[in-house]
Amino acid sequence: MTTARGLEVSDVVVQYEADGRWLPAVDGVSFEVTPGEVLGLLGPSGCGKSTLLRAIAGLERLVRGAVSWDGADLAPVPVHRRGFGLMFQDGQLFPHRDVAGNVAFGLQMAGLGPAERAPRVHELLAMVGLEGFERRQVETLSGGERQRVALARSLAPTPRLLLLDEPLSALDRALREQLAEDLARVLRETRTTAVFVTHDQDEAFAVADRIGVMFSGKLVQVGTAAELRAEGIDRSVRAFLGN
Amino acid sequence: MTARRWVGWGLVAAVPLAFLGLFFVLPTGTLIARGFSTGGSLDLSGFGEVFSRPRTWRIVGLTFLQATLGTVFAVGLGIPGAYVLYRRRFRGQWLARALVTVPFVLPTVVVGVAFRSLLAEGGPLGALHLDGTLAAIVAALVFFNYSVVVRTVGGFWAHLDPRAEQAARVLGAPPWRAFLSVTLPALVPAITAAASIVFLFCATAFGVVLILGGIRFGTIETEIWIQTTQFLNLRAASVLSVVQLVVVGAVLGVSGAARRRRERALHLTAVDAARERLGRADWAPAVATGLVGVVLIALPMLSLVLRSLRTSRGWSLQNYANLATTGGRGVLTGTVWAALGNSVRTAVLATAIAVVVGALVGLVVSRRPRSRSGRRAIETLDAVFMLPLGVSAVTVGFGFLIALHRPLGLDIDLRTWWGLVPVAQAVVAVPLVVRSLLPVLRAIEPRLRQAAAMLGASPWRVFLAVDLPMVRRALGLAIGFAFAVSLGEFGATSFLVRPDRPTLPIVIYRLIGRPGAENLGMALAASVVLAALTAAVMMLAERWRPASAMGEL
Amino acid sequence: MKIDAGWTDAYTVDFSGSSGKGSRPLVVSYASSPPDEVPAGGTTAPTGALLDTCFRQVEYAGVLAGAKNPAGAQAFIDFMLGDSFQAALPDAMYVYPVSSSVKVPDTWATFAPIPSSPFSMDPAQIDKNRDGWIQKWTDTVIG
Repeated sequence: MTTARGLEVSDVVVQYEADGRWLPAVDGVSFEVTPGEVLGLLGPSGCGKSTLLRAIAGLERLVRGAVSWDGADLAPVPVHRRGFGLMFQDGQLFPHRDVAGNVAFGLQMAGLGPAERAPRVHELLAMVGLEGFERRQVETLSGGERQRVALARSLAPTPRLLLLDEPLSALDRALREQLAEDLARVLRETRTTAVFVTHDQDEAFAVADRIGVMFSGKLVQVGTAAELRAEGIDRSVRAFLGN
Repeated sequence: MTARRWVGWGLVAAVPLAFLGLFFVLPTGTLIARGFSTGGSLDLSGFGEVFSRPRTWRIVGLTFLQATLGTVFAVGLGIPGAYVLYRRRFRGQWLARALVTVPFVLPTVVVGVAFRSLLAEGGPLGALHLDGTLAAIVAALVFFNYSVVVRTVGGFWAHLDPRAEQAARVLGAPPWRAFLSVTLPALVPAITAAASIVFLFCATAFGVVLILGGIRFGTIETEIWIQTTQFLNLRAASVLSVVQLVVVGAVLGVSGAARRRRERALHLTAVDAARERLGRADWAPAVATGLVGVVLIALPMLSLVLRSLRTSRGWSLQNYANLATTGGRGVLTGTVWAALGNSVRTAVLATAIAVVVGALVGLVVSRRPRSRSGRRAIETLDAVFMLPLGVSAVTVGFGFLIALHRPLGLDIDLRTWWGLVPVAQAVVAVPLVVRSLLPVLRAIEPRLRQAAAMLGASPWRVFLAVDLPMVRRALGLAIGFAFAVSLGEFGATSFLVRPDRPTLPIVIYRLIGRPGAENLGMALAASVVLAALTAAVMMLAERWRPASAMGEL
Repeated sequence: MKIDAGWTDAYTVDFSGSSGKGSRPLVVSYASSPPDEVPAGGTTAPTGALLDTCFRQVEYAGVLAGAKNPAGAQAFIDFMLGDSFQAALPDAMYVYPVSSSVKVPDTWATFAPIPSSPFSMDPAQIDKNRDGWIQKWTDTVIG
């Protein structure tokens, strides 16, 4: 892709309602992601990282601030036209379609015919290590296989930006490590720009090029893994990262 | 939500709103106006007139008495039934559950005829001399509503965590004590919800009371009908309709509050606790349920079938053969089979209308908007669309009669329109369609829709790709339900049907209203045919019921 | 005294003198009812009307105001007043013919004589009070 500027998030505020009051889930966050880069958003549960991701996707309303891609503000663009991909923690595969039907969904929406979809589906399934899984029913897949299909599905329409919302949190430890490696490899091979949300530091270090640390709705620090280990803005962050 | 999405959803909601506005709000409103005014000015003398007659008070008292008795017995017998059929398991339980559900879907005329055949002189229980008594009416009402209690309370009970009761037992409480102090209080929301629905159905019962009540017993419903068709006293009928609406509104309010409490409570319980086998300690509820099943449910249905096969010359199919005639002494204007044809045609039309309107309502009401005002709007719409369920079919039919002549001042007379009967049946069926579709639509994971949207699906394509496949089964259930209900609809149809195009329930009512062994035999045979058709449709539709549906119906 | 849902129930089920062989010997019915109970070729009637208690009841036919075809309706009414229609009335409708130039069936002449002085009332008065009387009767007798 020849986009020059990638994702720009400036001073974004997202609120949620609790007991009749509106509280900030994301409180004035700004960062940039250059094309081809994988940014990890690291933080404990409830720090607002998932909400921020959904705001970038267009699924949450911005109270303030802006999200833009390649310089163009995305506020007037509806969800299904942003060209972003989203991968959930539990995959959210369509239960009434088989694996190939799931992976091909985005291609179908883009208007590709069956002849054009089939080779791409095959290519993607091979990339995630699920060759030959085309006709399998979704209910028969294991957790790890599901997430691989979800990854293939979200990559199929070649999204400009891939958003991953704790994609490995629901899997057990061994599977997580394996899948994190595969995820990093696939993202590198396809040169996909991505924002990857997690609460697990090892995952963040394995997959992301740069990491942003979030705490209580604010982005407290951004840097590479090495930079983060060396510095540490305050005690809470260091305790969270562990030295 | 953007302005465009508001407009889009507004259009989707507009169709059912227009339908209900014209065919429910307008007739009901005209009815109320008629009761409160004469020639445009407020005139409460109608109320004075109606309430100064002791007959009115007798009828109102009877309505409440029979509704209360029906509710008490249905709930009292239904709780052990719910225990046996939903809290324990035994071989063949699915059959018992299906049998218990059949009464609810039978047309009211069929139930009236079945109990008449059972209790009249010459019937199996004729010696009890219960024909034409309040006991007969209450028994028929319990027959109908037993399954409502069993399914509502049972469905809730099945998901109740048994460990609370087990803890009480371990602490030394005998089983009945543990039940009374732990389980029963936990069941109260479900019991209240079931009781209020049953009370509503009993208070608005029409066909059953008309057939079993004779001239002594009646409800507000039958009184509206009698005042309209026999005394031509539209004023009194309007006043009584207003009374009916007030009663129904009050019950719906209680029922709605109980339902919301139950839905909140549901979030706290475990999902489908494992069920033990029915054991010796369960003899009391098992015996009670068995007795109800045999005496109250199976016996009338058996009696209906058996007596339909009996003629003056012994066992034969003569009554069924007579369905091709017009009855003894020309009681009918066409053959019974012709009436069946009319019934099926109107039911098909009514089902089509009800499913389209109901699906649109379900789509709108299943949205979960982020903002509070949006949620309020959805709740209001939910309540508005549920109103026809509570308002009696008689009120709908009567309202059509008086409102659709020059509606809204336009110079058209819709009263003789052939489409009136299907529309009235559709109005009655829409809430049932919505209640079948709504749990499934609400259960669709919103993130599934979001995933589809992220992959490039516009809102319309999201509906096609995500909502529609998941709702397909529930749609089958809704279609079957609406068709069965329309086939057996009697209350509204009795006001609106043209004499030359009667439906089968109307014909059955005419046949049972005329003495003569031949007419009675034909009424029985026609009832069996209608019951078989309705049951077949419902069983087909039940196969599409989603596995863990927890609706009231 | 038993109040039934209608004449059919009362006469054909509860009345002892008709097909239902019921338990009640007296029924409110028509002066033209007795011939129906006479067996074919019989000479005595098992039932009889109390002629002093009769009320003249007329069954009317008329052209409705606003009818689409008043001329045709009028012609039909004329046909109903004609001899052939009137002669068929007793056997088909169990009412006496209006036309005096038509003969009633023989069984009627014997077993269903027309009462000489039936009760009657000014139709205008009936029209004015009918609803009130029906309501009062219903309230008193049925409750």
